[in-house]
Amino acid sequence: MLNPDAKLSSDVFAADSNQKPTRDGFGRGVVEAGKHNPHVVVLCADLAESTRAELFQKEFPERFVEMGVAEQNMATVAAGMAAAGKIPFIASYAIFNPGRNYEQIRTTIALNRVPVKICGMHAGVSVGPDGATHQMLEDIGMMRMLPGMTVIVPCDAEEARKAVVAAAKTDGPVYLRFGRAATPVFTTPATPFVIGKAQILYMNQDKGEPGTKVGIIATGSLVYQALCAAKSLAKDGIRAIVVNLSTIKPLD
Amino acid sequence: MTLTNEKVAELDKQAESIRETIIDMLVSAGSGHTAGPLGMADIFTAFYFHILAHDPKKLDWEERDRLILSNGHICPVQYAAMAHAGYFSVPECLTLRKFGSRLQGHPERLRLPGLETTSGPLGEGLSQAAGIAYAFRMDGGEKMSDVPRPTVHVGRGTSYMGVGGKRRVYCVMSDGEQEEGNIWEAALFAGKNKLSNLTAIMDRNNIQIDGMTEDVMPLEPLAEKYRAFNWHVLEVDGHNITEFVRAIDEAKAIYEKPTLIIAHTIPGKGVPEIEFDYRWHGKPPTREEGKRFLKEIRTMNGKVPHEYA
Repeated sequence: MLNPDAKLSSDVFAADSNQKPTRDGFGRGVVEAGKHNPHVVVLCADLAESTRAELFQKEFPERFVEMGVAEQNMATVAAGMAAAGKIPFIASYAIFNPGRNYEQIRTTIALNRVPVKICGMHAGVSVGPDGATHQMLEDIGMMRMLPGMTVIVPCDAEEARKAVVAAAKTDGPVYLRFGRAATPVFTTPATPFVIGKAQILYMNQDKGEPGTKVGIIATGSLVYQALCAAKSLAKDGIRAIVVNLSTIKPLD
Repeated sequence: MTLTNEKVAELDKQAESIRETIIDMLVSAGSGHTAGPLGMADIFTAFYFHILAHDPKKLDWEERDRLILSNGHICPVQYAAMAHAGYFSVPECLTLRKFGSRLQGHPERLRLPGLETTSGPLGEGLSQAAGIAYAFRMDGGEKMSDVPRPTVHVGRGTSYMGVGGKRRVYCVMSDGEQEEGNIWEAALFAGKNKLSNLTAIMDRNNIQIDGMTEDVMPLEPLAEKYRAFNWHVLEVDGHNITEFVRAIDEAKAIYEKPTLIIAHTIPGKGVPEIEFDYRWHGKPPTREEGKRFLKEIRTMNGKVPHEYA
């Protein structure tokens, strides 16, 4: 059964459930963060539409910085802006950000411990047809090794929105990973989200009941697939627990 | 800001003390860079003892100017200048590169208060300085408090942007690091945004680790390149403090562009036997050499021995 405390949407398993890419959550979340805090700025490397940074650009043109196709400069300019009191979100595809600008992030953001929020879009294989050059598989590993870096992989567009708002309020650097493809939105505004907290989404009716055979810890868009798997296993009498590990670092 | 003759003499004397401290530091550390720090002693003296609005006793003063050192490996000259300016004691300089020291071989902001950034990997300082300059201008010169932000139009060529208050942003960078692509991305960005509150200083000493820059990877014509990127460019003798200060003042009067000051310097300046020798880029003097170098520095300037040599 679904964990009632997680307050997931009532039609989680409906075939025609609401689907949106997690990058939509970035766009909405960063506008929300911008309304809350005038120091929030967004830097984008010639991908305003597909990263959804354009939502912020429309709302706060004076706080949107077009960087051109220059991800190394984007990271280092953001480091400078953060040192001067801004809260920069830097947006591009994950293969370039942090793929292209890893060392700039390491030296000028992580070692400098400034509050730059690195937003990697089109991560993983969700960018499918673009091919191997654009399928960023190494970003989580690269970012979680950096000192002081928080790493968040939202499971759907709603959690993505909350993660962006939370990241803006967090001291220090954060890496946020987003996907390109539309995926089910199964959490709700009422679903709790705290950076650093994993959450049980699916469990046995009786928590203490022995017989749970399987525990699935998932992150990002695979959390929904894990829920489907748990439901399917239940039909076969196999009891499973599903945990949404949206914060990869610090690990709960 | 015009310098009197007395002030120039005082600054020259200060630069000599800083050179002596650099030699002492490197001998004590047993590793590190010699040529660059000696070559930049006059410019760092000018910054810490005349140009910068700063307060060594009030490190979080919002209205201070910002000095970003991009080529972090010449940090001995920055450490020595900061110590002589009162950020920490001069004897602490001798902890350079020692285990647990605040004075690491490349500067770390989190360890040593008063540094504006962490650097070492080349080509990244100009972008950071541009980011600070851009942020200052967004604030329209306001302090970073929670007062409502004024609406300023930033990043659009047609809009007038304030100059970001009195705070100036300086970036010291090397000539060798002009080979990094990140530098030219920063140059494009600063030129596009007309960051007139940003002044970059290039240490044009013509050497890098593997030899002369024009042999390793030709950089010239540097001035024309930056002008093409929409910068105002000046060239000075980097050992003439008067000339350098005049260039800094001229940069303040340029409202439409960032300014690059190409400072022609002599690597190893002050120690004649190593001047111009690229082999001294990345090695320290031995104890014996150190004694000789100190003597050369003093002989050059006809000064009495420094008390803590």
